[in-house]
Amino acid sequence: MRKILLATTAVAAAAVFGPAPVAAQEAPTVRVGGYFRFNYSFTDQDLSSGVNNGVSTGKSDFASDTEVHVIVAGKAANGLTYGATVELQVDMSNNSNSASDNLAAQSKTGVDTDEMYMWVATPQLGQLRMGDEDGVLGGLMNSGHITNFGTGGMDGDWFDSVIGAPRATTMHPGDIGDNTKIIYMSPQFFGFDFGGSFAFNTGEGEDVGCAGTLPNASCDRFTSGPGALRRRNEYQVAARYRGSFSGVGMSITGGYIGSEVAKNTTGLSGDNISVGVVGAQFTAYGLLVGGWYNWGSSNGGWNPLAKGQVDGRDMTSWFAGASYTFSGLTIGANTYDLRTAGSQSVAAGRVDRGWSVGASYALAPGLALVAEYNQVRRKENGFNFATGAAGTDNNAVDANIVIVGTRIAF
Amino acid sequence: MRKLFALGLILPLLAACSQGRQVQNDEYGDDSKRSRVQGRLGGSDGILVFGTDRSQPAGGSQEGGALGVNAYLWRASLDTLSFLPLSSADPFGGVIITDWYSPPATPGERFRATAYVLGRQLRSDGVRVSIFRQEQRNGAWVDAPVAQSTNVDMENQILARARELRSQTASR
Repeated sequence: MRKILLATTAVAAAAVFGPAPVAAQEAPTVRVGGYFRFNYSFTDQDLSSGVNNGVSTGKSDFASDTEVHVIVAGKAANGLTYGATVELQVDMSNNSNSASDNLAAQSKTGVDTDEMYMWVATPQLGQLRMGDEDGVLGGLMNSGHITNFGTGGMDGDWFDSVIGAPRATTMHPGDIGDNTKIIYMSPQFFGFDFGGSFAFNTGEGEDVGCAGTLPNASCDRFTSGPGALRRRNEYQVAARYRGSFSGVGMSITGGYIGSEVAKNTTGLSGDNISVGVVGAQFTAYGLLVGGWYNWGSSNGGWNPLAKGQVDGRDMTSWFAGASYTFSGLTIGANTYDLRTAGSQSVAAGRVDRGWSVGASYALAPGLALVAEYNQVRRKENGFNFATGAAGTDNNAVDANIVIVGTRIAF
Repeated sequence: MRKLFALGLILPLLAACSQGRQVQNDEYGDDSKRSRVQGRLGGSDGILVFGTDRSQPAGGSQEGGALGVNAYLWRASLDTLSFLPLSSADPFGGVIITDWYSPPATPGERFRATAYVLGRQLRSDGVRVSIFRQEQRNGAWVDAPVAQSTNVDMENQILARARELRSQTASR
């Protein structure tokens, strides 16, 4: 398999670097882009108090966030375009009590990298992109993910305001992660373009993930061992059509996400990830409408399902949204519904769902005001979201979040 | 898995054998929060710290950016009139003047065109086209009338092309 992958890469690289028509050379440019936002949030959620520890929390908070992007681009005399992008972020930094993501303990104001990749492209062959980046169905070529209002609605900032279990799981484009990968995306033919991406594992960034220790389940190259069910040999393929008919612009995407699973030598083995993805969006007269649907073998958060458990059901997820833009004002709404096995030791399936309505107003190019209402809900009969184990209490939790804020981008 | 890699091998080769349009980076999704803010402070996408700025300001693809006129109408005019040899094009004044061209099927007549892109907004009255026609009589070219509908038809072609370009951008 590796030989085939290397051959594929070599052919693409040979074609990319091969003879090409003479084109105007452009010296590289380096740009620094940025983003800052300030939010006031009012969060009314279940499980807002600590369990048996006397802790209670309020509803109001201010929160800030920033991104810094370094963007390099150039064009060689043979027509080859090339560049690199490094995105620094704060918005995925949490404190050491974070249990709902995979981040190591770090400061709440710590800066880490989000996407970081380089790319080469020619008009004839398309683009080869390498690095920590979303896959072709991890956001690059998806259609129907309508988030251009407020903070993004169900893919916006609500998640940053919710404590603990009511943070509903999503499997939106981008949620599968920026694991280091190689991506190919074709030119557009008669409205169609195609793409594929591949990652050996879920690791991102430099190094091996377990330097200085004996090999363990944290190693990027982990293939089998006790405990962990992790994706490996993850691939995504996508086809996208974009065009317009009678003034209506459309974008339609279909594709597939698959992966093998690292072998668990001391417990249950896992099912391969196998998920189909379709989506579509349409735009005319300032109105944008779209949605997508995912289905297949996976548990929530793109985690593999363990075999032989009480509940091994496939996942389904849909998302729908619409927005309307006139002058500098955009209003919109979106909603999603994710059904997974959740806790595989209880028979009932898990439902994560939510909806949002909001607006954004451009005071000036790059300066916007936003307002948004979000409601998220989680439910799994027989599972206690407070304790994270089987139980009859707290089988359903929800959160209501109002956000008012401002953001700038340059 | 192997079939998928074989597909990965075939796609670049297929692409190399075909005539496609290069997909620009801004046509791919971007899940950064920065990408969700409309426009950019200062007009350009990021602060240039090295190199020469050849890009259009943010929103320039709609408003004209570095061009003096609407970019969609300008590009659509160039596309539509590309079958005629270009004599001059002024992107700031919005004027395109072609040279004379004789269709192979009718060597006894020739045409030239002048197109004016009239402003920075994408409007149906934002472009004017004048077609000139000459016929060869006794070895000399003499002016001949052109149906008024020819100019209107050409303007409609340009507007349709501009709409297509705009829709492609909107569906990104």
